[in-house]
Amino acid sequence: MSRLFTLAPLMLFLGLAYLIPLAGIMLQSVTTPEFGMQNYSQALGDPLVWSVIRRTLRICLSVTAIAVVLAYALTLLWLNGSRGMRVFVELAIMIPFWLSVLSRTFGWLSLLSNRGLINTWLQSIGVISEPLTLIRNEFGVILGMVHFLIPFAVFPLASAMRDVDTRVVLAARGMGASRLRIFWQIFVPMTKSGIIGAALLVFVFSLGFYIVPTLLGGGRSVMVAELIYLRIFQIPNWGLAAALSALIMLSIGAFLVALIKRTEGTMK
Amino acid sequence: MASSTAAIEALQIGKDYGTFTALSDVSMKIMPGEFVTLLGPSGSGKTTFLMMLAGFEDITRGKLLIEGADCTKTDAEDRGFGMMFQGYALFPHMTVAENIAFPLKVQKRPKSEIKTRVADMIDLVGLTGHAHKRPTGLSGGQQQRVALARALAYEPPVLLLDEPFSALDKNLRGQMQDELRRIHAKMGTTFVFVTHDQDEALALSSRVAIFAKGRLQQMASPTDVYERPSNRFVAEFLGDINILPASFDGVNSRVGDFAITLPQAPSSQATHIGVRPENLVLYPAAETDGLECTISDRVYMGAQSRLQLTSALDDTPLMIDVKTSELTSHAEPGQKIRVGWAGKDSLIF
Repeated sequence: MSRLFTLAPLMLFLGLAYLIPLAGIMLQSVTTPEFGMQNYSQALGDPLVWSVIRRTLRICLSVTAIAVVLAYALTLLWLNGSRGMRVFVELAIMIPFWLSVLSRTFGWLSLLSNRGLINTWLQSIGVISEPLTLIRNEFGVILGMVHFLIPFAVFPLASAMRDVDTRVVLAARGMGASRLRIFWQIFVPMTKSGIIGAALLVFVFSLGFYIVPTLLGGGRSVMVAELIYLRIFQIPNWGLAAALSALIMLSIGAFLVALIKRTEGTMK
Repeated sequence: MASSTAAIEALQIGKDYGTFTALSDVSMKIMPGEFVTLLGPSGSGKTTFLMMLAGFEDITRGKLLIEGADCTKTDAEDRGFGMMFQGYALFPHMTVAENIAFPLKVQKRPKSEIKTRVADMIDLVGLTGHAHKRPTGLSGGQQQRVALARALAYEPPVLLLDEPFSALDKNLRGQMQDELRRIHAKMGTTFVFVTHDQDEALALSSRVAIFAKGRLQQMASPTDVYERPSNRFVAEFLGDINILPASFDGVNSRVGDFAITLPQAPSSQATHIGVRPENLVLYPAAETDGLECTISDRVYMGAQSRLQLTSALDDTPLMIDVKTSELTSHAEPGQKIRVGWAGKDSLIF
């Protein structure tokens, strides 16, 4: 009972700041400009919406795969590296958390733009004559998103790796298994729960990304969140934007439920 | 034992962790097919020694020969020993059959051979019908059997066992010990077994190596370490013992007024005589020889009873085990009795 009381302020806050506006959006999606499902049929019938959804999925899946693989290597370094390496990796994971996503994205801009550090340097040493297109495309978006999301993938991976019984690895070594075999056939499968957790976190997180695709995509790699923004502020169409939001939320929810059902099935 | 080359030979092996010496000067020879137990209290160095045999710990000093070849610096992967860990160390994401097949796949044995070998091992450890279960679906004893099957599947010349039964309850433990003895006899593999349980060590092994304070104290057959311990530590560590200050003059020795004739003269450093409780004899009431004691407690243990005594000489507490049926009503706490023992049962320290 006392626990409920201590949680009450949080519940109240979430209710006021989150659930009520959410309910408002859901309501708007079926009432603006008039009652009915026309916003949904318009959203799903629009080829532009579908191309944005396809692009969003493509970018998010790439980001997830790249971020999880890089985070896996980083976590291995973090947990098994020398003392100095551990401190270095820890800082590399923690410092980005202290910087806002906006300033980090501007950082990427100053590195990657046509007159950014990389292009001017490569031109000055004569490797290229024309600047490389590093932003205003999917490459820039993926790069910025991966950079932002790696730290989030590290924690579930680290917790799974810490749970691996070192004696199991020793047992495999004692049987003459090579390091490579132990890694792929013993260690990676034993950290599967961490990999799934990290991938899930990164994927769901990436679906709603707004600032990074807007700035690094430069309007050419529009993702779903930016599309919603455009529907609200540039072509004021609140009903359609609300329907799009609801669709994203429902599909993420359905995706999660399906995944949980599946993992429960394999646990048996 | 056809071969005269030792399966494992340790030559003055030592281990330091920084400035701390965990193990010093351990030398031993383990012959092919032997069942050797490394016994000792925790922190005695027995597990460190096993880990050095396995190749999981570096050897700081000394030399390790495997079948006569110097393997002091050989990696664990290349020693080809089997190993059974405390807590089983099974691969949780593989079935029983896949666990047992893993070392065979590492050795790139043909598929058909792996299949029959896995089936044979599953039968050997009595897990028929469990081949496709995951370790989490098995009981502790069954997981133990999988670990044993996996460790023996590729016929390693030596199997190292690190307190494998410590997590099992007493009945299951006895059952697994019998199983292990049967499998040892059948396979002829050399077993090196670490335990802190002396009953387990005495019951299982052909020789027992007793460790304490980072040193090998004695290595001999179970009978020898129990009946002829090489020092006071070994005598006190294995079973119970009464240790009394004594004076010595050639083969004649005295504990208080009680004279004992020893089978042979002890060394000049001898100061004490030790006697196991089961070797003490209760003298008849009329007897005037022996040590006078007062009974302080009587503990019924079924066929045997143990009397706790206090020696009249210097209040040393003593223990004596007697057949319950031979105890008279006069053996009650507070009564005075006399006890003695034969010269051959005297251990000199």
